[in-house]
Amino acid sequence: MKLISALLLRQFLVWRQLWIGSTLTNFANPALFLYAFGFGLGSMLATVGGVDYLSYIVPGMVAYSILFSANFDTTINAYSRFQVQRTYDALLATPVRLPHIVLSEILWAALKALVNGAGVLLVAAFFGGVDSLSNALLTLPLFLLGGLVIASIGLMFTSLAKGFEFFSYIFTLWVTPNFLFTGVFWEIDRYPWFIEYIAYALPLHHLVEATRPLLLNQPVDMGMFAIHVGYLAVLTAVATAVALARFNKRLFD
Amino acid sequence: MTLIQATGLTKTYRTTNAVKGIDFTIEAGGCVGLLGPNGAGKTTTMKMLVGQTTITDGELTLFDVPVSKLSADERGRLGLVSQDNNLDPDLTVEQNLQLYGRYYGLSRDEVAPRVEALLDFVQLKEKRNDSVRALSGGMQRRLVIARALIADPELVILDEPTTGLDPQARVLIWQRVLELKKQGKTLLLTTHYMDEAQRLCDRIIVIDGGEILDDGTPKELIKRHVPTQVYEVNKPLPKALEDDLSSFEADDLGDSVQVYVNDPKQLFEKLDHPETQVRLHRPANLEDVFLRLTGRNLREGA
Repeated sequence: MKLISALLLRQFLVWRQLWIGSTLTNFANPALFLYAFGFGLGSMLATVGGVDYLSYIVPGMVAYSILFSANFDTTINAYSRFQVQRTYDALLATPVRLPHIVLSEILWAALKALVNGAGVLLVAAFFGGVDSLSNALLTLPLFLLGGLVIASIGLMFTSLAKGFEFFSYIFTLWVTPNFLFTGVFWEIDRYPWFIEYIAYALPLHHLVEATRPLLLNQPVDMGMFAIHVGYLAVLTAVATAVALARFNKRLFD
Repeated sequence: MTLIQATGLTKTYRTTNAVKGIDFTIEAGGCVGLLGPNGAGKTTTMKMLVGQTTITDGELTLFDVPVSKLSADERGRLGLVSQDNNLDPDLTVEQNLQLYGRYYGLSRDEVAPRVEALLDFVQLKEKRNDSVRALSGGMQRRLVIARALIADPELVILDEPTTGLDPQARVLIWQRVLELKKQGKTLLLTTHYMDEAQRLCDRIIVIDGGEILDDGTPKELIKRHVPTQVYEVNKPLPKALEDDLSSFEADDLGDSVQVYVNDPKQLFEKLDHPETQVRLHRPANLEDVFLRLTGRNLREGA
């Protein structure tokens, strides 16, 4: 624990130098989307399933900011620590071991994503897109879980990556589908059945589905809720295990 | 007290045998040099010791504990001055030291006085708030040394500490290394600079192709492998020497021949004008030993 907190402290010190830029981009981007879609598209649609469109897309926008933030930290950023700056090598000459590194990377990215996501919620509340503030607070642990799942999958990609080019595929084939086909903007049943099935596999779908009823102050189907949360937890565990095994092979063999 | 013991130590990367079953023991105190050409297996041996790579076969103990089973505290008794400058480029000089201390599990209060002492030791006090990126190569290397000392280790491993540095920066590093020796730390150093090895090491292990070729004090190695005197004779060689060259130990350097003898008379009998024919005379040194043991072939890669 002492070593993981030392590693988190390192991330914090680096973040503190650049926090304005990093927060602004991770925050402003979804805020712009929220504004453009919420008021732009929303003005053409009366309601979606009985709620106004701005409120409807808030959980998706928070999830989107978490996706971008946690993915970026654990892919491009982590890869440059791993391969370019050789930070992992320097760490492994100390009592710090690989699991400390992997867990701190994931934890830090998730915490940072949560802060960014909470920022988006604040902006949404300011625009009038959050119906129940107390429910919004309840979604924070879920968004933390969302950060953990995206971060662990991002780090898994990093443990497999052979170069920076790899991450452009990740962006196109992983980040964009998670953003577009998971119910951020509209229900996934509008898509052909195969896209619907892809959406069921993508973590952002489950994050949005788990948080949307809460944020919209609607009744929560506990069975479905458990499935969403359970799926995210399992994905996190599997991705973390793969990342650990791959890094282990690449660093020590 | 035995600090390091290797028995049949082996490391195989996918297709190459980097280290082929070596045995050695390192006792506490003094400086031991691990000498070898590029690709000899020096860095791999270091990495196994430090825990940056696993062992394929054999045993390697540190403080009588197999390296794979070292506790965090035991790891703290070892400091690594790594070959590449893997300082944290996102942090300042001071933060690099502070955080490295935290990675050893030291508290903020424990680290603070050590950072001061070490910045002083490596003469980087004025640079404390500078980004690591702004430091010269020599300064970065000094900071890597300070970083390795943050947990006050009893064993310090230096992997090619002066490679790529200018002469002034090298001298500064040597001073610091000798100072560490004086403080009673055990040093394990790799280098391919013979002058550095001769200057700093009490004992030298010569390694090549993943195997140990010899082991001893610099003096012992010189005595064992080369005659005491070296004469460099200009080409073309005098006829008498040319005809009898095979009875001497000699190396062709291109426009001259380096002849090794214990008794100079033996050589001078073959020279008619020694004052013009001999270009250089010097006592044999570690470089001669190294070249005899590891051959004159150029190393590719590594």
